[in-house]
Amino acid sequence: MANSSIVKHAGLYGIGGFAVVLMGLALYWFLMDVPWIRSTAIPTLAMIAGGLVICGFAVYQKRSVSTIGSTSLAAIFGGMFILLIFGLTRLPEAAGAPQVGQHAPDFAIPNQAGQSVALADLHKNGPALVVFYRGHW
Amino acid sequence: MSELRGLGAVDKVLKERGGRLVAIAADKVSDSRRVAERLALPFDVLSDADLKVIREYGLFFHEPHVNLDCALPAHFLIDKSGVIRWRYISPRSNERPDPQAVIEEIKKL
Repeated sequence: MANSSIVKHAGLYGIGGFAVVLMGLALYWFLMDVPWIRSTAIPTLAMIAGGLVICGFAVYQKRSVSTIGSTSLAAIFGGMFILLIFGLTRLPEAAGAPQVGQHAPDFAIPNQAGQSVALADLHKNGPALVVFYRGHW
Repeated sequence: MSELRGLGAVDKVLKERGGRLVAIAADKVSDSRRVAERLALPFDVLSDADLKVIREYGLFFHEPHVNLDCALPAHFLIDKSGVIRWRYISPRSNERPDPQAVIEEIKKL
């Protein structure tokens, strides 16, 4: 026998499940600085799965516009996240990049203060790490 | 961009060894300054606005989603004689090396 109060509030469970999925998506942007979270998105995937389970439970208790609607939204948002993170992120290969063992191509370009910085000055007294990133956007 | 914040620890290890870390992007100097100030970075943020260095390192990439020319995310560890001893080029736009793993590579030199 289904608990009648759960059946009565199934709509709220559905909305709650959708909210868990949304919170999972928000969490990804907040924790993007942590490399393993950025690469694997495990906490967000766990929250998407948890939210969908709650939604599924709500639909199982009561099939209504509200429960089926929140479940569909949760599935669409969760699916879009997975597509974005795992489907559209592949980068082209850098075939022309210098290899390990080769000399690093020299450069002299301005820093944030407009002063020129040359690679030779960076590794003059110790190892240098040159990090290319995608820019201020 | 936010990944730069995590590189403070790597910068510290390099400085202890007399070396340096720099970040490079296809930004104007004014944008590099904004990034360096906003994230309070302890290392220089270089401006390769005409993408010359980025092209020379084989990292030129036209980002189709935002229609911008930029660099593939990459790390090059260079020893005192100017030779590349370790490199990392991101295979996916959401993958970056763990700063701790980079520190391990520096310690191997």
